[in-house]
Amino acid sequence: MSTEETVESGLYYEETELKLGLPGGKRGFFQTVHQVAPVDGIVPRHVSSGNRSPDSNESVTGGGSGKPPAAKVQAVGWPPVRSFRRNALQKSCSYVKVAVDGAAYLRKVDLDAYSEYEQLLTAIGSMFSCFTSKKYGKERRLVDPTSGVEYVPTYEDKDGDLMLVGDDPWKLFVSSCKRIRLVKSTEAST
Amino acid sequence: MSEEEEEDSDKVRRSATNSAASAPPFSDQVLENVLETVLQFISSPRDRNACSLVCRSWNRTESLTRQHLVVGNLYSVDPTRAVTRFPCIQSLSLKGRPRFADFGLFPPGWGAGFTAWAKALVDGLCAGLVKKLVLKRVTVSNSDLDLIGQRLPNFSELTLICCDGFGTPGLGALVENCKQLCVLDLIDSDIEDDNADDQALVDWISKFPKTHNCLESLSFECVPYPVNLGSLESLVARSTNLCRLRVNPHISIGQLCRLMLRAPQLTHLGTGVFCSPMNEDEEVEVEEVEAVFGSMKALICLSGFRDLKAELLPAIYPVCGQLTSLNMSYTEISAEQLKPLIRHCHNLQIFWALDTIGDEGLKAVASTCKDLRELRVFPLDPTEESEGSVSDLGLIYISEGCRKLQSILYFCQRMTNAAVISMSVNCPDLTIFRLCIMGRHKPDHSTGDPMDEGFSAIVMNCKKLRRLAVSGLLTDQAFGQFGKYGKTIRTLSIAFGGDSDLALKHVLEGCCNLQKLEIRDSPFGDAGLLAGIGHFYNMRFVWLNSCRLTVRGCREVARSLPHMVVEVIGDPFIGSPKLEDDEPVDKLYMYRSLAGPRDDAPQFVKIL
Repeated sequence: MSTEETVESGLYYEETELKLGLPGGKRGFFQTVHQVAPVDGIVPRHVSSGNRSPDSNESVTGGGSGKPPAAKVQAVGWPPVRSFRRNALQKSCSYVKVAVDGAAYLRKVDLDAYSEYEQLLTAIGSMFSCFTSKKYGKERRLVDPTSGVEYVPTYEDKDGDLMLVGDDPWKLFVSSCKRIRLVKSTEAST
Repeated sequence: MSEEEEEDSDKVRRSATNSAASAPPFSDQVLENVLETVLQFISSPRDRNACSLVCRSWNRTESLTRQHLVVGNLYSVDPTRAVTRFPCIQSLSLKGRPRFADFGLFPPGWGAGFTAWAKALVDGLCAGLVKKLVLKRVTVSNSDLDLIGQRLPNFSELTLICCDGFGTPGLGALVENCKQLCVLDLIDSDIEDDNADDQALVDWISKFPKTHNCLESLSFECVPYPVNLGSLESLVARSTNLCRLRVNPHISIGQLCRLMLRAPQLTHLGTGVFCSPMNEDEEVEVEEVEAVFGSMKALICLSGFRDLKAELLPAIYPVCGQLTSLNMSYTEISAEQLKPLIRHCHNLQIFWALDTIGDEGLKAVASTCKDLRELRVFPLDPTEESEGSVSDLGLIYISEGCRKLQSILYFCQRMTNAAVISMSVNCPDLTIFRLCIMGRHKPDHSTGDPMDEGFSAIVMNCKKLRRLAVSGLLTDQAFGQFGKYGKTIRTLSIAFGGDSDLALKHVLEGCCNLQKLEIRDSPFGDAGLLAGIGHFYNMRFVWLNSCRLTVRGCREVARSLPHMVVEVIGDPFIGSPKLEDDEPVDKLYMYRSLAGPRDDAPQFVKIL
């Protein structure tokens, strides 16, 4: 993912970062070092060479002026909350991309905003020029009222497999869904 | 020594003199016998250290009789030397990395491995006696755990806090071989199997022998893998002495209830999650859970509550009145959700929560929990710019309601000197005061003044203060006060504070009992550091991160103090730090040591 995308989507760097498997790596050193999002193109100060001059330290020199430095970059490990706790409290970031066959651009939904499939599909349907939802037994399809074209909601899971939306319990779906794709039912094999 | 101990030692002395009158043994031997008997009553490591310094024979006797060895920095002494000097130890407590390592300020691979100690223990004379190990911030390997299980025949208690380096294979090996294991507490540790996907996880719970029934404490909240529920249930059922059980979030609430029913004698419980299970078939009703809690007559300590379903909270009301410790710090609850619960908790002494409870929630705590000794309020959003849901108001409420408070950790964004002063006056028993104003350099939000007055008041009024962590806007004057009045402070943490070297000088020269000093992002340079040359040998360690040190200053310290190990820690990506005099030092970690420079330092660490 490019920098602009991560900033826009609000995803933290570490979601997409390759983690090196050095011992003790999970103690947060790599995660926190790379958690600093570049601000106005300024390189995070803690990920630089040893030639860093001590004057780059941002603390106040005059007594009591209280003025924060102009270019403020998040300090590593501040506030001092254990990595263990930070990871446990981090809200699961469940924005996923939604692609529709034939549409020029993709949309994004926050899976955490819904508690069941019906709600999700209704929301997606209304995102793409008011698709309506149709139920075939247990399966759900989305229909474009103008063209009558039916779409089968599918999703890509953690293993990269294309799955049918609706088979798993909702919570399980949310935790394993990586992106959603509405496939034209004429193209779907079933 | 207490009066009791003095009386006893008098008696012993008298009887020794009497026996000397009848048959004259060597006076040396008499003295040693007497000493051995007396020393039995002395268990505090500080007292024991003092005794060992009296003379050679005291030193020898004390060494032979010491049962509990505490090594605050595992690099301060060679393991074999320690084990040889104390051949009769039954318990060993080791600390590895300093606290800043918890916040990602220590590069991985820095060190603090347990292996050398494990080998020393199993090869030493104490191998047959060692029962208990407590390790904090140490890297323990699977083979270390295997070694302990196999080669320490009387081993029974293992506590690992903020440790890493091992996974389920190590756990499996330990529980399989350690016949008398009664305590296995894994707390906030990084437990990870290599290649967890490719290789099957070890079902360590099932490795407890079927005859194993002496378990008293089992905490595995931080084990990230599911455990075999059947084995766990049967283990809990046959462990009639089990009083502490803390499960991980893979145990559903229904499963937890079944475990609780098997162990109604539990005093400490960690619930893991407390919400609807993934599988809708396993859904439980509030009333069912409430009934189970109602049967836990001995429960005094409750934690867990990861992923809470608020509707289930009333289930714990039956035990609230008996709780002395409640940890809800992984749960987002509001003041409204907390109030009906905390209203029942009149015996609470320890309370940990997230700042989502707000000042209103703290008000409720203050009005009920009159016996509160320890409060920790953590931020839901631990970033500098976060809103922060508690403020000076909450601190005032607590200070007015909880007069017996001894320890506080408080994260906020808005604070006033007045609130801190109020706490210093109302809570004279404070030994630990840690206030973290998350935005750096933040002044008193109502007056705009630095936070000098507040923190100074704490140091002046709290005569038992041992540990202080400061934040917000602080001038050199504040540190002058710390130096002047902070004579009992043993641990001091400073972040983004002070104006100049003078601040550091005040602290190093004034705080005569200072043992552990952690400083980050403060304008302290070589001059400040060198002001402490006369004091560093009295301290366990000094850590300076992103200050204004240069190699020259650090080298000066290393040269003046041969028993200080002065580590300049670089970035593992960059490699060895440059050591020209004028090079800035971003991370300095120095500690006194009898062992000299360690031989396991990675290449990004340079020991001057």
